Amino acid sequence: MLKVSNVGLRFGGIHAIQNISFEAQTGQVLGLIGPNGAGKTSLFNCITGFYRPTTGCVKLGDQDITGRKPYQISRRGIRRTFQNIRLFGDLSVHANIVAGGHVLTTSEVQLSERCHALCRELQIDETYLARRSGDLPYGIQRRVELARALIAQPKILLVDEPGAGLNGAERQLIVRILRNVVEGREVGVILIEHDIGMVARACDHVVVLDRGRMLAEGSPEEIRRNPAVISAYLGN
Amino acid sequence: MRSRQFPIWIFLAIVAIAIPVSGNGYYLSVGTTVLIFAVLAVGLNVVLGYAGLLDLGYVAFFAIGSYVTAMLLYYTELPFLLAFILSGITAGLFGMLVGAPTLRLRTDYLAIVTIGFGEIVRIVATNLDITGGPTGLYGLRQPVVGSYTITEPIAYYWIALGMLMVGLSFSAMIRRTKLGAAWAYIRYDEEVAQAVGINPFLVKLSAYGLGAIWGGFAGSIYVVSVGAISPTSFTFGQSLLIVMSVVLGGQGSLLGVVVGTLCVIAIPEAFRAAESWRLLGFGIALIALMLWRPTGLIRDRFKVDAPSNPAQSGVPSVTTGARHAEG
Repeated sequence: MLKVSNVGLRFGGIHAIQNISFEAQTGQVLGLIGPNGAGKTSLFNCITGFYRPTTGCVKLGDQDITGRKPYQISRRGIRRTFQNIRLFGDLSVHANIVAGGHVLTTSEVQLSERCHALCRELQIDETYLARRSGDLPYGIQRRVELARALIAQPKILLVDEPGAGLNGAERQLIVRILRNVVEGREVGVILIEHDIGMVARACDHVVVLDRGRMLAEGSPEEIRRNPAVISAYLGN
Repeated sequence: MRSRQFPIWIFLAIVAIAIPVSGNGYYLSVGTTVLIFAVLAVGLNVVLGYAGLLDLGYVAFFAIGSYVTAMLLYYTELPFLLAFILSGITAGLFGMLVGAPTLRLRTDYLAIVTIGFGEIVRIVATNLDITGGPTGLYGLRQPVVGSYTITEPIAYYWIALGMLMVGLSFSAMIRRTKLGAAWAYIRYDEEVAQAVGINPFLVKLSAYGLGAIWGGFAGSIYVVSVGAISPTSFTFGQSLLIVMSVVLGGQGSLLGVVVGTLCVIAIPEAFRAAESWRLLGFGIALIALMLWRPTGLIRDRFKVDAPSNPAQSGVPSVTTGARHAEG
């Protein structure tokens, strides 16, 4: 569905990422792991148009989206969340979720229905809907941000460290939600996550980055056994 | 929540009607000035309060509108209504011209460019012959609308008041459209707005362009109410007064903008004797405000549930936190 080919990003003389190639499939969660500074978020920014890749190309289906503007990419069905939650803090939860469908032709009433369905699916208590989103607990905000991305019914969903700052139970919930998301709809998920337990449970396939390069790729099991990965990242 | 603002609106409406009824010429003239500034503040509120674009040269559009009308009345026989419309259009075109290259940048750059633009307009007007140079144009012919010649100061008061009402209603209405919601997203977080599919450039340009058109209209009314024009009315200081009205009152809140204008324009007028202390007073007031009430005197309580309220489908109404936080 989403094909990343030889993508590289350079800031002046520094290579943030080099030669990254992989494919994200509909119905699967692709894990993107690697130590801090490995280039995971930079890669997200290249896919979503916030950065323009210096080399390589990104294709959604058979459309080349390399170098398109973020809003154009978003409209084509690639939605994302951010590493540090970025909600419209002063607006209500309902307004935030519905904002995700702002540019769709879907009617307000339908969006509102979708919003309610998502709240049930992501276990966001509906009494929160009218609350100011910035006042809510961190874990809820994470899920509101996910709902904002999902309401647009994206083809590809990029989730940037959804487990950060959450407790064990909340992480479990995120894993269940992500599994549910890919199994219940036509979407491919790319997940950046540090928690290897979460990655093992949530992902069908894992890509490991290290210092901007691809270190390994395979099933969570293969990755766990890969000596290069262990020495670079898991073993410490 | 509406009900707490309602009495203030009623009070303002009574004052607005009492001024012309009193027949006091001084009040009427101050009232007209305040109204025209309020009209400008309402226009800037769309740019600054809704879309979050810091325009420090808003007076430029006011000046362009004023000069277009003044020159058309001075040199041509065109009817006033046409001059009025052309003023808005010209100001809007300049808005696009300035906005198109700068709105792609971050808002800090916009602030700098707009200061420059405001100064350029004033300096050009001071140096051209066609604009009357430093002395400006005076003895403009009185505007005729249909068979009615507008001469009385009281008529200008009502026109300005009418324009303010139109501006307030239009602002309130447009904010509830999808465009209004997009402005809010851009203002809160431009990157996230892009991530939900909003074209930031177009959305910002629409706010900036609408503000410019509105400023042009205000200028047209202003210049016929005064009957003369000179470049000294369009200084950077005037732009700052408008910005201050919006910021002091509470960016985004319409009541706030009106109250802010009263604080910035009307109150100093009441203490004219202390004119030289005016800026000091503003400085202290702004610092105090930023410390104790950073959102302005009247807090903006914007709901983004437009255009159709989902309350129909049994959804709780969607409000910003103010309602819950302030009870």
